[in-house]
Amino acid sequence: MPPALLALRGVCKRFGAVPALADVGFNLAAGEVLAILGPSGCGKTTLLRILAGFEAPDEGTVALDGRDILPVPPWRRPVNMMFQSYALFPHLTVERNVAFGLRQERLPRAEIAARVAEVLALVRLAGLERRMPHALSGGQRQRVALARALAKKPRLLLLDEPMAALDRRLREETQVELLALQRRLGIACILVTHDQAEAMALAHRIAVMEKGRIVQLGSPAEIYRRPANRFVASFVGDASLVAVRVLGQEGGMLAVVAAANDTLHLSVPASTAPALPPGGMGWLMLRPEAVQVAPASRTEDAGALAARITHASYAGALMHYRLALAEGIELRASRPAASGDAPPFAPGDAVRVSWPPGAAVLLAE
Amino acid sequence: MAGAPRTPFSRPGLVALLPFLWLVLFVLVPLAIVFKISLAESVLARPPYTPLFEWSGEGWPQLRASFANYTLLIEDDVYRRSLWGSLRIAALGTLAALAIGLPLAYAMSRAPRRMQGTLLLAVMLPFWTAFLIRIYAWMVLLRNEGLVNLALRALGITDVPLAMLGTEGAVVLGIAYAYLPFMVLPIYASLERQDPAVLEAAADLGAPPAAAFWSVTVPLARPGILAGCLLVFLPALGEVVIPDLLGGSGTLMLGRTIWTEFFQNRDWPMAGALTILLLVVLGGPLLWLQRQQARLLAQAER
Amino acid sequence: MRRGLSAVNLCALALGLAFLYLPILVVIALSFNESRLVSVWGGFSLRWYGAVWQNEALLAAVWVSLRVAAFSATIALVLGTLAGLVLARAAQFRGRTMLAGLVYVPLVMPEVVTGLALLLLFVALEWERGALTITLAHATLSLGFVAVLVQSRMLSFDRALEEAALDLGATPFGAFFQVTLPAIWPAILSGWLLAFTLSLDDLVIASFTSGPGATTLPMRLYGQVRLGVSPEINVISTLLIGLAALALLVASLAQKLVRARTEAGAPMRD
Repeated sequence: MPPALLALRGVCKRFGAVPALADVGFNLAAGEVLAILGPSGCGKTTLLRILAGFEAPDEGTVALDGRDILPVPPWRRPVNMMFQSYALFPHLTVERNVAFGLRQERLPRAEIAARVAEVLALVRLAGLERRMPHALSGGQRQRVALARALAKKPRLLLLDEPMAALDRRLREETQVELLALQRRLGIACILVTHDQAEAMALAHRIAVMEKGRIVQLGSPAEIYRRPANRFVASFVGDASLVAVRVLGQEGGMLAVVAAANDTLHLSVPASTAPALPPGGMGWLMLRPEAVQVAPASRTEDAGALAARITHASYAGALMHYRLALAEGIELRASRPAASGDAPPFAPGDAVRVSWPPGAAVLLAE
Repeated sequence: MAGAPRTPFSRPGLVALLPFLWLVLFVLVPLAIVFKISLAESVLARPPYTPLFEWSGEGWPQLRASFANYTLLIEDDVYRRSLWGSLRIAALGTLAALAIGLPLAYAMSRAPRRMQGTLLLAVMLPFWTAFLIRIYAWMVLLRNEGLVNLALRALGITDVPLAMLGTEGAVVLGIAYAYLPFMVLPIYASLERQDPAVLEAAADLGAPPAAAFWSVTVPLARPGILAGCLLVFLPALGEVVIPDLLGGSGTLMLGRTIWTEFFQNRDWPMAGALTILLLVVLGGPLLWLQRQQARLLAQAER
Repeated sequence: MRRGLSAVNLCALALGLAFLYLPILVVIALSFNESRLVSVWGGFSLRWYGAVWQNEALLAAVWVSLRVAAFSATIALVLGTLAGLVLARAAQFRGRTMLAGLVYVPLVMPEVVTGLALLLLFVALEWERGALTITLAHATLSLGFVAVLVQSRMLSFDRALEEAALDLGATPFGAFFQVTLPAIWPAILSGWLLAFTLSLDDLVIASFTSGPGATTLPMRLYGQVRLGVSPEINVISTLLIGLAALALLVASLAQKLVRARTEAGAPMRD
């Protein structure tokens, strides 16, 4: 295992009485992209500002290449940031904006010009050197901001909501470009976002934050398939959550019963379930796309449960359903709208629902 | 561990000290001296007032405060009339400015967007012109051989020139003219912010334009109207030059009386007491205005 | 809502602007009047412009006024900018409220109060009154205007720009001079222009704080105006109006620049 490029240990920060970060720690490998994902106010921006040097943590250590960088002021850190607002200098041309960081290093003029031309070509902005920022489109501004940070050849690139100011179509295009650029340069990135799709698309690993803590750190697939708790389950993707009580283990499966209805027996794979004693309360999570819906007339699936459609909405490629499994127990299901096997259901239809055994996940809380 | 980096001026220190000391010396100390001298008595000397503390050489210095000036303020007819004159003329001037400024501000806010900047500039421009000149212009217009009288005679409305210069009416007009931009700008600002959809809603609900103006536009513009009125009323209270040039010898206002006491009667303590009176009169509305502005600022930030 | 002008609005606009401009235009027109009698049109002439040029007392007063205005505006620029920066940036420190209050007091106090108070100070300090004391008085008055302009500009200034500069390797002072100052200098410049104009325009404070030998242009004009209307004053008025128009043009151009920069600095929102 290569030594970590960046190592955070026990980082805490509070503003007045409000804790913004509590015991945050992780490693970042060279070339890795880590997304910090969370709702606004979860502390992700504070974390980014600590890495950039605009805030100092109350406790904890931050080491870059094995050296403590907390005493280093922002202007001496080999870390550069792309600001959410881009923070382009409005009085400088594109060229001078990108050259700003290099001029602070007092590099020779020719070298600055060469580096500026190089990064501008990299972000496909060659030809716009003399433009002022206000004469650029949103997407172009974003690329100037990226070029300005990249020109410094930072050890670590920080991206603060890089796509927040772009419209949806441009956002997807830019994600593809940014991803290609990162893989090509192999630069380590920390990306802060509240958009789970963006985090999944760009990052090798995702750290989900809630109330100043990292509640789960893992690959996008791990986070999606095995969320650590209810918060992660509902923040990353859609999920149906059913309150359940643990009965006991039977073979490889853990038997549970719905808390709202003693007759509704369900089971989850024991291998992925948290250690809950019999009688313990937990949550059963199901992703909507894992839930299969069949007409009530088809009774061949032994494990299928009777349910009733309460809402149906058409979303182009998918049909979204809400199903009442029993009084007070609701499931969500998303089925391909154009699949030939079954006609779409309407509210009131009696159906049978089932899911693959591994799709249900038990969450402790 | 390093603290968060500070940009310059986030720590006041020496930077704040310089303007602070300047303002203490040239604002706070002088006001204290005014108060001190208002408690003294007028004498024929240089400076023409008695000291507040007298030290006979032994023991504690003796405090010699006299409230004679303040009693005189109440007893002497001239000062009472000055105060009343100030309040009356400033109020009338404010009303006149409102009568001209409100329609003007409303018309500006209804004008096409691209014209609004030019109109604003047009309203501001006279404000940047020398104050004295603007008042002088009314002397040119209002005197007996002035253009207004010429026009009136040409139209056959009057044969003898109307005496307009040297009347209280001329002072009211001068105040309305000199401070009109102060009235127009805040009203325009509050009208300009209004969502045009509320007027459409009023029309949709059956209000004809005039009714919508009085029942929707004016109430919504109230903060701007109040701010404008105070911005005219407050400086008008202490006005010196307008009553002196456009008013007659009987047009008494506090500012002018302070000026006269000081420069003509050389009664510095009395001028001091009148100044304190003026400040007291101004104090209430000023505090109100400041609170109002803080509220507007807070609203604007939201 | 249609943004066209109805007849009523057009009328209000025309009357309002006429009220504002007619008196000034009359004075300007009369300044080109050949006749000494102000109310009789004697034909177009530049005669009185020549006469003003000969009036040495008047030119001396202009010189005093210009000097006082330039020096007081410069002092106000330095102190006002410092005060504005501190008020905008330093969140809390002891005496902040006091500083904010002291900055505002001269803005709202009647001139007659400011003038009298400062005169009494100069008497108490036994400073000889003249151009210097007028300059100090005007600097105190204008300081607040500069501070308010700089403070409001700083509040709309995006702090991320300074942080971006630090992030890219600029030291705090480097960031201030390379990023912050270029963003606020138009506000500082219009502050200076406002201070200059206020000083040129002031009669009351100057009358209190000046001494023998230092007569400003408004003081000299006031003396003449009190005697009545005269062609010479018409000419001086016209010149001053032209100057003010020019200054306002420069100031509004500076302001446009600020606005263009502010808008350019803001992110594009969908």
